[in-house]
Amino acid sequence: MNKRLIVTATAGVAVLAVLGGVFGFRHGRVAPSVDNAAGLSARSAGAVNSMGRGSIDQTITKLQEHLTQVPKDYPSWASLGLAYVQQAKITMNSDYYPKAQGALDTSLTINNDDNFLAYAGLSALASARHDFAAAESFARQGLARNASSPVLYGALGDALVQLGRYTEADDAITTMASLRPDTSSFSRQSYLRELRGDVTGARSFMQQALNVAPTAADRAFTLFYLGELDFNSGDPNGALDKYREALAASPTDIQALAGKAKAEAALGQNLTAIDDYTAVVARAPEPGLVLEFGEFLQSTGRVDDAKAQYDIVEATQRLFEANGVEPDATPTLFAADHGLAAAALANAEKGIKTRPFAVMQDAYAWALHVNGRDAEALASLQPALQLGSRSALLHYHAGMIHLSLGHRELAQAELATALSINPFFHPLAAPIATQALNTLGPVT
Amino acid sequence: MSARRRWLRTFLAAGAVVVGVGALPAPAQAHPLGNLSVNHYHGLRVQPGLVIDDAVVDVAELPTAQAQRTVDANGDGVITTDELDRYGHDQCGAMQSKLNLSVDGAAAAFTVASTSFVHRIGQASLPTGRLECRLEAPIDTSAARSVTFTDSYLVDRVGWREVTAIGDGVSLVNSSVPTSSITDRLEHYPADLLASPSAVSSARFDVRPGSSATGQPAVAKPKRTFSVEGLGPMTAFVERVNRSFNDLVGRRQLTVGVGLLAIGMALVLGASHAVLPGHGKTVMAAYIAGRQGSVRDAVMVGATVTATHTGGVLALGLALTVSTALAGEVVLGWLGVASGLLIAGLGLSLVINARRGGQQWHGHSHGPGGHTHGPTPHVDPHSGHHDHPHPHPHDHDDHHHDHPHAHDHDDHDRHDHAHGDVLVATAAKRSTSVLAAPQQQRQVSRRGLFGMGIAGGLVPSPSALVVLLSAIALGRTAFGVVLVLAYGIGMAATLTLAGVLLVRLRDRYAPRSGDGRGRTFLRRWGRIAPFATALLVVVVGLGLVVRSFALV
Repeated sequence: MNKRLIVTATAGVAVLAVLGGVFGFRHGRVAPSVDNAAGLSARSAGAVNSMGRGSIDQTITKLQEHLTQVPKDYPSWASLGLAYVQQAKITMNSDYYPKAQGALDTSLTINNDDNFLAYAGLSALASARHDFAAAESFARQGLARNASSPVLYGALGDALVQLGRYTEADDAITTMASLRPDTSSFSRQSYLRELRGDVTGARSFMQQALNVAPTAADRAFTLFYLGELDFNSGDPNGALDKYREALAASPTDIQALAGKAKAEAALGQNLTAIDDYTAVVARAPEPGLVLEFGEFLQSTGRVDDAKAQYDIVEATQRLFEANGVEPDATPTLFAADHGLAAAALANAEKGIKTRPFAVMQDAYAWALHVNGRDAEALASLQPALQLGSRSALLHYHAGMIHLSLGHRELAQAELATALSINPFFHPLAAPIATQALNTLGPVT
Repeated sequence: MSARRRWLRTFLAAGAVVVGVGALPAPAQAHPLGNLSVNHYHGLRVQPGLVIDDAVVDVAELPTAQAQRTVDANGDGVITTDELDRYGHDQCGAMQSKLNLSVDGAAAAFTVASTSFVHRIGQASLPTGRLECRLEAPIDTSAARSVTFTDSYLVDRVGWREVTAIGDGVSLVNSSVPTSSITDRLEHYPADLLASPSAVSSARFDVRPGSSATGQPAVAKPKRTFSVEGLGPMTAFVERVNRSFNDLVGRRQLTVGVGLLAIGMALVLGASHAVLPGHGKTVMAAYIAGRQGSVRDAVMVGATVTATHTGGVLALGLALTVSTALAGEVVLGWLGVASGLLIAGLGLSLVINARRGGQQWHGHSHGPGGHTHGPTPHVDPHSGHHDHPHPHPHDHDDHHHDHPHAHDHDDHDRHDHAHGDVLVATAAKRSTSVLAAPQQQRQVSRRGLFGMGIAGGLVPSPSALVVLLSAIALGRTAFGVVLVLAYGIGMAATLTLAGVLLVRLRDRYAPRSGDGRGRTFLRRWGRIAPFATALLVVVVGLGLVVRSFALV
C-alpha cells in the first residue's frame, strides 16, 4: 500500500540518517555550534541578525519563527537546514535529516543562483549520510558560487578526509582556518594532525579550539577530544579529567559520559564504568558505544551480559542492511571479532568503496585477516601505516597480521608499538597483544 | 502565536509540501526520532470524579531489542503472550511511579487500571514495542480545580513527547496542551519543516464543574487527529485549511460571524474533501455514465452521501467519545472495507446485467472523475482511464440534449432516440432483452444509486470527525453536529456536481452522426462498454477493500 511503502522508504532514510549522524559524529569531528549557521545567516539575512550565537536549540527556534514570517528568506532556510543536520548529530535524532533536506530544497527552490549556503548544507547532509562523493561535489558547487565561505571549505575538507585525500583535505581546512580561525576549523586541523600521528600538534590545535570555544557545548566537545587524545596515548587518568570537565560543561553530553566510562574501565573502576556505560546505552544505543560496553563486559567475564549488548549491535546491523546503509568500520570490526568472518568482509568491501580512508582501511585489513587473506590485509594497512598513524588498534592489527604471515620480528615490533602507544587500547585485544608478545619473547 | 502568524505558517508549510513533493521521499515516518527512540503520549481525560490517563509508549527497534531479555522472563529465548502481558504490567507500574499529578497543589496518585504490551513488526523485521496503560486517579470535580501533570518516565531516552487533555462531563480551561493527538496516539508522526519534534511531557489546566461551557472553553486549539491519506498538494492544502478551521472552532468567543464563517468553511472543506481521491466518486461517475443517470440521479446520490456521512460521523464520534478502547483508524479501516465490498457488489451486479445485455450503455465512459483529481492520481487505481480520448468531433449543435433524460424515469425505451442512431443501432441489436425486463432494470438502477451514495458516505472523513470531537471537547456538541452536517452537504455538492457534469459531458459528446468508421468504433465500444465499466467498478471496490485492510 502506498502508505506502507512511504513509511518504509522514509524509515530507510531515517536509519541511514541515524548512522550518518552517529558515525559522522564519531569521526567527523564537527563542533556542535560553531558550524551552526547563525552567524552566516545573520550575514546574509539582516533579519536574523539579532539571534547571536546561542545554543543550537535557540538557533533553530529563532530560524523557525523567522521563517514563518519571512518565508522567502532563502539564506535562513539554508541555515535552518544546516542547523538541522547539526542537531541530528548532537541529539542522534534522525528526524532532523529529512527536515534538513526539506529546508535545503526549499532554500534552493527560492534561489539556486548564488545560494552557496544551501550547498554547504547539502554537503554536510551528504556526509552525514555517508555519501562522501556527493558531499565533495556539493561543496565544490557551493564554492563555485562563493569561493570564500569557510563553511564550504569545512564541508569539503570533511568529505576529502573520508575519501582518503588527506593533502587536499589539508588545503581545504587550512583555507578554512585562514578565513575563520575558530573552534570549528581548529578542531578539524587537530583531527588531520592526529591522523598523521602528530599527537602534539593535534593537542595544540584542540587546545586552541577550546580556547575560543563559544558555547558550553563546544567546550564539552573540545574537552572530549582532548580526553580522547590523552586516552589514545595511554593516559586514562588525564583522559578521565578531561571527560569530567566536558561533563561539567555539558552534563548531557553522551560522548563525554562514554569516554568517562571507557577511562574508568581502563583504570579498573569496573562498577562505576558499568553504571556509566549503562546510562550511555540507555540514552543512546549507538552501535559503537554498545559494542564498546559489550566488549568491556566480556573482558570482565560477564559473558552473558556482553551477549545482550552484542544482540543490540546485531539488531543495529540488521537495520543497516535492511536500509542499504553504507557500512562503516564499527560493524566490520564487530563482525570480524565475533566470529562472523564472511559478514565482516562483505561489510568492509562495501565500506572501503565509499570511504577509503585510514580507519576503514584498517577495518578492511582486519576483515581480510580473519578470512585468512593476510597478504592482502597487509597491503590494505599500508596507506594508514605510511600516514604515520599512532592508532594502537592499527598497530595491533598489523602485528597480528604479521604474526599470521610468520613475520615474527615485525609482529613483535608492531605489537610492542601498539602497547606502548596505549596499553588500554581495547579491553579484549590488549590482553591478546600482551600474550602474543610474551609468546614471541622480548623485542630484540 | 498570533492568528496571522499561524496563517503564514500554514501557507508556508503547504507551499513547502508542494515544493518538496518531488524531491522528498515522504514527510511521515515510522519513528520520527529513529530506531533509538522511546516515544510517549498521554491522553488525559477528566470526568466528574476521575482523571484518566490513556498512556501510550511507542518503543522503537533498538530499545525494544534492549528490553528483550527483561521481557523474556524465563530466559528460554521465546517470548510468550504471558511474558508480554507481565512486562506491560510491570512497565505501566514503573511509569505510574514516574508520573506526577497534582490537584490544587496536592499530589494525586494514579492507579493502573489496565495494561497491554504488544510487539509489532518494525524495520528489518525487528520487533517494536507498544505499551498502553490506562491510569486513573480520583479528583473532586465539585468545585474548580487546578491540575498539573508531569511525566518523567524514561526521561533520558530520545523520543517524541506528547500530552493532550480533554474534559468529559466537566470543562477544561486554560489548558497548556491540545485536546487531540496530532500523532493519533503515536500511530502517525507528522512532519513539518518548521516544527521540531514534540517535546511536551507536562500539562497544566483548570477544571470547572459542568460540561456546558459557561466559562471560557479556552482549551488549546485542537489539531488534526487523524492523518489524512495521500500526500499530494491537494491533501496538504485541505489539511492546512482544516487546521485553521479547527482553530476557528476552538475560539474563545463564538460570535455569529465566526459561527457562520465556520459553517462556510465546513462546506468548503467537505466539498474539497470529496475532490480528494477515494470517495467512490469515480465509481458513482462510472455508474451514472453507464446507467444513463440523470441530473436527478446525481442529486439523489448526493443526498444519500450527505445522510450516510453525517449519520456515520455522528455515530462514530459518539462511539469514540464513549469508548477510549476504540481506535478511530481501525474503525475507519473496517468502514472502508465495507464500503469497498458494497461497491464491488454493485459492480458485480452491473457485470451480470451487462452480460445479460440488459442495459443501455453509451459511446464512451469518461475517465470517471479523473478530471477532478488534480495532481494526486496515485490513490486512484484506475486513473489511467481518464486520458480516454474523445475521438469523435461533434459538429452538431448541442442545445438539444441539455436535458436528454428528463423523461427517462417512466419509460426506459423512449430515451434511445435522444442518443442518435448509434445507440438505436445498439439497442436494436439487443432489443429482445431490453424489451424483456425494463422495469427490473430501473429498480436495480435505483437501488444501485442508493448503494453508491451509501458507499460514498460510509467512511467518515477524519477531518469531520476531528471537528465533531473538538466541538464535543469544547462543550459545543450542537454546533459540532451542525458543522458535520454542513461538511456532508459540501461533500454531496461536489459529488453531485461531478455527476451532473458527467451527465452533461456525456450528452454533449455522445455523437448522433458520424462517418462510417466512427460508427463502427462506437458500435464496438457500445458492446464492450457495459462490461468494461462494470469491471472497473468491481476493481475499484476490491481496491478499496485491499487498501482499507491495511488500516485494520
